[in-house]
Amino acid sequence: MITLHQVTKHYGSVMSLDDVSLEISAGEIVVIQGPSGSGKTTLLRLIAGLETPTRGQISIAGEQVSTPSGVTPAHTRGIGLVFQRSALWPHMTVVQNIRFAMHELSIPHTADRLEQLLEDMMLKKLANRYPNQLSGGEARRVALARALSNNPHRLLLDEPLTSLDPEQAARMLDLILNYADIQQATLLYVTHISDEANQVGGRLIRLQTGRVVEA
Amino acid sequence: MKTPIRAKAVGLLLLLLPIIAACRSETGQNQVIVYTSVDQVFSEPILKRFEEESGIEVLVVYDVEAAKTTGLVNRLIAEMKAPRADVWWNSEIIQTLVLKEKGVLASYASPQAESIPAIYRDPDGYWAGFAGRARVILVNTDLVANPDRIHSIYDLLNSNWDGELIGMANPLFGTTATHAASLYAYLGPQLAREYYEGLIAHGVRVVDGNSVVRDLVANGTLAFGITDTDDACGAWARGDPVAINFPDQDDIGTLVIPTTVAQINEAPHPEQARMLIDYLLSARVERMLVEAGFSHIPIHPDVEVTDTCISTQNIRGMAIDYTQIYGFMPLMQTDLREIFLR
Amino acid sequence: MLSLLKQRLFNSRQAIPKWIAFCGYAMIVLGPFLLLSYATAHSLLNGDAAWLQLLIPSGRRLLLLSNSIGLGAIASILAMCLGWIGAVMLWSSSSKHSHSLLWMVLPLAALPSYIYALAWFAIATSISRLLGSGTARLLQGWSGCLWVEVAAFSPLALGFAWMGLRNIDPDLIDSSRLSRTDFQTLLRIILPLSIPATLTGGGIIFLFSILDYGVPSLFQVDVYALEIFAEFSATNSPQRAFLLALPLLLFAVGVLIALLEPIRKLTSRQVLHRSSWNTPPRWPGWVANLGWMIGIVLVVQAVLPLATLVVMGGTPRQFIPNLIQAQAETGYSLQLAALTSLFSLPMALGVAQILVHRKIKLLWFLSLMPVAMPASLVGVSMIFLFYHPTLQRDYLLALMPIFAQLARFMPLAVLILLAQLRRTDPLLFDAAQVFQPSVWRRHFQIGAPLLAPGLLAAAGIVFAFSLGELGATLMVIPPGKSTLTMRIYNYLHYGASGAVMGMSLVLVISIFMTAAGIATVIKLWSRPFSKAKTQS
Repeated sequence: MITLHQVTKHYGSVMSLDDVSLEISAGEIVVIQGPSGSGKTTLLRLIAGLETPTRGQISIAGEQVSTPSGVTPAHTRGIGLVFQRSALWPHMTVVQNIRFAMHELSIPHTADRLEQLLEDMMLKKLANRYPNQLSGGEARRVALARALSNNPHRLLLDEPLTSLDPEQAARMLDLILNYADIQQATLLYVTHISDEANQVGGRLIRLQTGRVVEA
Repeated sequence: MKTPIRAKAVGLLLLLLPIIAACRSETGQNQVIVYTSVDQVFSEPILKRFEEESGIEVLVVYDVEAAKTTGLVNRLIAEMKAPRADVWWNSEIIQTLVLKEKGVLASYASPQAESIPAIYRDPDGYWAGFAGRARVILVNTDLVANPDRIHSIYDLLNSNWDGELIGMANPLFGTTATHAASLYAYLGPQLAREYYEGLIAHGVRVVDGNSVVRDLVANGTLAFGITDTDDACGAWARGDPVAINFPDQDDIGTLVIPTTVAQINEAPHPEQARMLIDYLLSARVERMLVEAGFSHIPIHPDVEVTDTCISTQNIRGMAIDYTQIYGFMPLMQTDLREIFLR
Repeated sequence: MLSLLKQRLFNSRQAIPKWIAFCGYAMIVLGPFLLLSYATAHSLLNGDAAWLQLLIPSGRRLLLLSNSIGLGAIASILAMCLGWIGAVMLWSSSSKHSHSLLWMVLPLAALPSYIYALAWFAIATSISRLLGSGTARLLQGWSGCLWVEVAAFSPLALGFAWMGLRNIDPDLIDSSRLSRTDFQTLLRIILPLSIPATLTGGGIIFLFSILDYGVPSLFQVDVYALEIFAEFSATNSPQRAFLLALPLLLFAVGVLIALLEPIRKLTSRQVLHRSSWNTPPRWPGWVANLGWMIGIVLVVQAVLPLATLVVMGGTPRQFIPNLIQAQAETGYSLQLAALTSLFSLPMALGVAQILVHRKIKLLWFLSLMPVAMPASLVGVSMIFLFYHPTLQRDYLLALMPIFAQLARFMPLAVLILLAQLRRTDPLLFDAAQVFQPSVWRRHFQIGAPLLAPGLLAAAGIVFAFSLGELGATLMVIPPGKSTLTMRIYNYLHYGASGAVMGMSLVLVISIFMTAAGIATVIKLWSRPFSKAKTQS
């Protein structure tokens, strides 16, 4: 379970999230919707441990992970995240990007897992390419493969279908939902497109100017 | 219609104009342009006084020792086809001889030079020397019990002293180079080379300049070293524990290096140049340089040394012609680069 | 057909400013090198073929060359290591003071290394008086020379490393932090991604180190640069000095060109401007301690010489007369440096825009040569290039020091702007071209703000180096004018250490005041942009 208790986040004088409280059960699929600037990305980043809350607490699996005075490191939270932009490391090939994201200790068969991911995401032929040699859709698939490489229990997706054509988008969404289903993973899916939100299904949380207006 | 951004750009340009205007160099007719390697602290007051007295504007470019004598001399050579300078005022003599040979200088027999001994002026009037300095040994009196016994350039080879405690400036540059060439001329290339090889074998410290020798002797890092009179007396004047000895007074004598002044060929302001040369060669200016502590070996017979730092009466100078020294420069440079730069 | 022709004409008109900039650059930067090459070839063909042996460093000269390369390599590697670790500590620190500390140290890059050497000499003398003469020996020979060079170059190294770190897309760091520790992220993501700036900085430091003979000769380390000066001094022949300098130039520029290829490959486009460490990093204990130690070394290297300047030249009795006497030189130096950096920007930007889509190695090679050329040779060739009886115009002569400084440092501005252009989304410029017909508006409202970090960095570097320039300025400075650096060196010879320290202090204060002025302008300029720095 992921719990946010009265979480507020300021950037200087700008309020990004304002007194947000939420409970997300394990294995639940949640779509976070809202217009630009409503705080969707900030919410994901706070859960991932990439931001420190200005006020409030965040707990994951009953353990308090983020308070204004301290944040447990992101890599200990068992979270996979797909950023709005693919954010692939430009100095690493596709396979190096995915392998670097794997916790070698937690996955006994790194090579098998890598193979499977390349297969699932149709990346086998691209394995040795660098990010600047990939198309937009290919880069998104690598970003998803990287996010899934650790078999995370919680998958956070920040507008993952941006810049994909409809066919690629449908294929990508399939991959995501399939993974969540098989792994019983908690899915937090950020989008501002209603159709996409409907396709994902699950609970809808609507944000506006940093506040939860529908949960 | 003007767009605001264009207005901004124009505003920016207007702001820049005064800066650009301030950088403008001012050149006019009643002026004289001097390039000098005499330290600014000594030359500036003299040139200012000339300006006040003559009404001629003096524009100066001061040389910088860090350029290792490649600065203004090479500028003058490069400018030969379109000369900018009128007067060259050099703190020593060899570079002036270089300029004469390259055809940079014009002949001008200043009436003020008539009283200067022939050895200190060019027979064809290309340059004249005054306000001499000499090579001396500066000794730290805290470290050396009887400083008078360090009185020869050969004391730098004395094995009783750790080479690390003895210093000299790099002999490839400045007056130390002139001194080296004079030894080549006086002793002959073989003996001179052996002398310098001996210095390296003894581990004598070669430092960046004569002023560094002075400072290191003054603060006790070195026991003694060889430098110029102006540097040595500078240490004495600030009360450092030093003694100053003229080397080899019963033998080869010490090297006296005059300050030299010359007119530039096709100088843009020849009349003003001559007036300044006359002024610089006057006994009055030499006296000013002596009083300021720059020169301790005046050339004019009626200029006396008032500085009590060192007695220059009856000092024995090296009996050698400057053109001879100049002739040995190339050989000395080749040899000493092999010995000192490796 | 007609519209196609019109379009072509329009496109070529768009490129005109770039090519004008390029011509100016070619004349000022490539001119001196090409002229000296021509003069040297001419001498060789006219019977001075024996000079060719100057080209081959053998025996003693080979040893000197290896000394120079060794010293330059060690100094640049050490300075970059210190600078990089220091920059990482400041960059990842959540303290608001980290930026102030950076801005305190950066302007020190403009202080000539000779001044550092003097200050450290003074410190060593005081220490040896307290603890015995043995301690002063640590600051002699290679160790002393390296210590002073690293001290003098570390502000520059810090600046380059900081620029490299700031240019890393924060998402790349965040995506690594999700699965790896901060230390692993540092080694595997941050270090490789900051390599372009680190290599550029290291290359530039290497160039400046191998050209400097002042600091090595203070520490009795014999280097090749001194040999070049000995040759120039003995023969007064720029051609001979140039031939002798060529092996050093070829090596230095060769290294830099070799570095450019990985730089080009590694540069990624950056779009997002967000701080990278919104949750503080957790370093292993030893890393944090090492960071602290290096931080202390950097601060000591920067602060101790400064403190020495203040103690030895900062008493009112010494400082105020120096300030008054050096007033004209200070003003002139600042004007020259300001104008040089200002003139360098449009030209360097034009050249960078031409180079950004092309791999013209020869052009790179030629334009980096003047950076690696001994300063007085640049000055001499400037005289050959521009002095002609028919060209003796006051304004041209007044511009000569600016030309000389541009020749020496403009390629650095090109290097920095090229990096900035590669990191800026070209679509933004394309969009401006589509929507805004006015070239002026495109430059001022789109180009300038987008390239602002690069433009400022380039201007800052050119300003700092111009302020400390000596060799080339001395050759072309108009009579009656003098720069503060020239005055400092002139007094240095006289041995007026109090006055030298006092004037160095004036130089430092001028640099800090200029830096503060620039920082204020940036703050005012970027106020409208900074409001947009939030997450969606």
